[in-house]
Amino acid sequence: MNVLIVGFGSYQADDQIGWLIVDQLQSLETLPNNVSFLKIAGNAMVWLAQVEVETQLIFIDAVRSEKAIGFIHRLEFSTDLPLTLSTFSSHGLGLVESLKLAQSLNLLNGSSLFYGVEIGRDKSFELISKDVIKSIPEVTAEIEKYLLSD
Amino acid sequence: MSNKEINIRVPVLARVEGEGALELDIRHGKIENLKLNIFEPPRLFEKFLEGRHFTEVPDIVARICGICPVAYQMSAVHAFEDLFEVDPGPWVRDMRRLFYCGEWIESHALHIHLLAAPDFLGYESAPAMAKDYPKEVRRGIELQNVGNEIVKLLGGRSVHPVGVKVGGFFHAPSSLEVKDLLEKLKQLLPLVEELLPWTASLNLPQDEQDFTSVALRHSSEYPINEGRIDSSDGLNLGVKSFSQHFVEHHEPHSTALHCLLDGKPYLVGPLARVNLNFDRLPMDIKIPALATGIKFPSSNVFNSIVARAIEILYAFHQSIQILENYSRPKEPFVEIKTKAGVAYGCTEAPRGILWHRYEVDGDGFITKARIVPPTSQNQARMEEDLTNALTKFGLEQAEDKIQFRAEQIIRNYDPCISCATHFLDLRINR
Repeated sequence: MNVLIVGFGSYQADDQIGWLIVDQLQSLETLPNNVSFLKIAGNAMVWLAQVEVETQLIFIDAVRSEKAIGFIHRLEFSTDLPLTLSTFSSHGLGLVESLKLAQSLNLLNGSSLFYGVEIGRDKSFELISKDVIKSIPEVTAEIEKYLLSD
Repeated sequence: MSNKEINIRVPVLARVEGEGALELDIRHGKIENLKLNIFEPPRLFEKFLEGRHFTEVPDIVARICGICPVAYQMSAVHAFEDLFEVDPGPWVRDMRRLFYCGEWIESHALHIHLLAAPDFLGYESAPAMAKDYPKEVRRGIELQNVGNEIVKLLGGRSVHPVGVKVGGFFHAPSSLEVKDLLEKLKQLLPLVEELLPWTASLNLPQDEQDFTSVALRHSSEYPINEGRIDSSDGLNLGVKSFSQHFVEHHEPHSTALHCLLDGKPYLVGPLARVNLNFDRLPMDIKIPALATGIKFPSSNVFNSIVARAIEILYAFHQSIQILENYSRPKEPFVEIKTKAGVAYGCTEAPRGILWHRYEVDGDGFITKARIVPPTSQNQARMEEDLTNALTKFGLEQAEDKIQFRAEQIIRNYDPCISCATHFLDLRINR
């Protein structure tokens, strides 16, 4: 089974967390060779162009809610995709819509996993928060364990 | 004549970047009130630019739009270079054309396949359509992606690119990057060639209307970055004279200004461009365009989707040609010497002409800025189109059918403000 790990992010402060975790995962020598990686800025549809066969997807992104900075959100999208998550993306085509498209195109294999790290700082001149950095080993280890147990 | 009174309110155009609504009152078989309400809070970009140095402008204006940032950057850099009397040379000119082609491809591919096509094939959304048309939806995704890759090649990233500066680009792509992208474009060319006849085969409403097309016109090529402002009514203006004929005004129901040409609505965008510049298309684009059987200039605005497909084909050919002749320059930009004055720029954004005007002091700081985007220019035309088209469609029709046709008409313009997605939360008062 193919696995694609997608990190959403930018070079700005805490918003880079998705990319940093992908970098960390990519550096591991333990992962099977059916795992590929993608770092995306901004456009949630980009990953879809990279998937040609049934693939399991793991997304990592920065999140803002009311949780403490560094809190790790975990979501599992099954076949019943939550349209209510759809919010403020270009043309209304965000991550959920891209997943729904992938589902219609029979490109999803099993559940899709989403890891979100709660962030605080997002300005280019700010440094990444210490609590956000602390999430990197935890999320990395969790995804590694998941992939190796499969 | 029907005595039925219909009041359609679409209070929020949901799942959109912009915020708008549709208000429609039908009484005694006639439209009594029709307003495309745009209530997105003013974004004040023109004010943000005041006090900023001209070198900051390309990065700031790129933030205006996530779909067409290149257009904002290009209108800005052309404005300043015209004022500063700088010619960045043929390499920069070619790369800017390539950069813009990338944006046309990604924006048009998104609109054709994921936003407009479901309307013409009878689906409520792209995911619903994808179950029956997987090949076509996949094509849209791949074309959008390669358009983004062209933008990324020169801009560093596809959303809000950062590679542009007044005088050229910060970075010249390597020959290897160019080779990879060129191969990808060549591989995808068959998909683009099948796109044009496919759009022409869609069940498009036949709705001929009388309207004025406005677009740039270049002396020898299909317009992207340069040209004079032309209209189907015979107007031919230099970019600096835009304000003599085009006047923006505020309508109480919209936070986006309405722009009129000599007091009348007009159309900008792909159909207006093709209408005014069909003769500027190369023969290898003209032939498949003529083979669709659609005659340009066209007075059916629903043919905009075909015009977009023509422009994708053109942009693909242009991109391949530019990349095939690519060579890395010593410097990807020229130095700038500032001077005080008024800078004007106008280029062809995916949705139509995008006009910029900047007042600049002797140190290169902006003292005043004015930006007229395509959607504010099309807004009055959209309302006029809705009135004409719905009347022709039949005001006796069921309310859900009237609403669907109204949404279809608006989406057909691919307005950036509402970004042409689906409208929800209908409330009807009888």
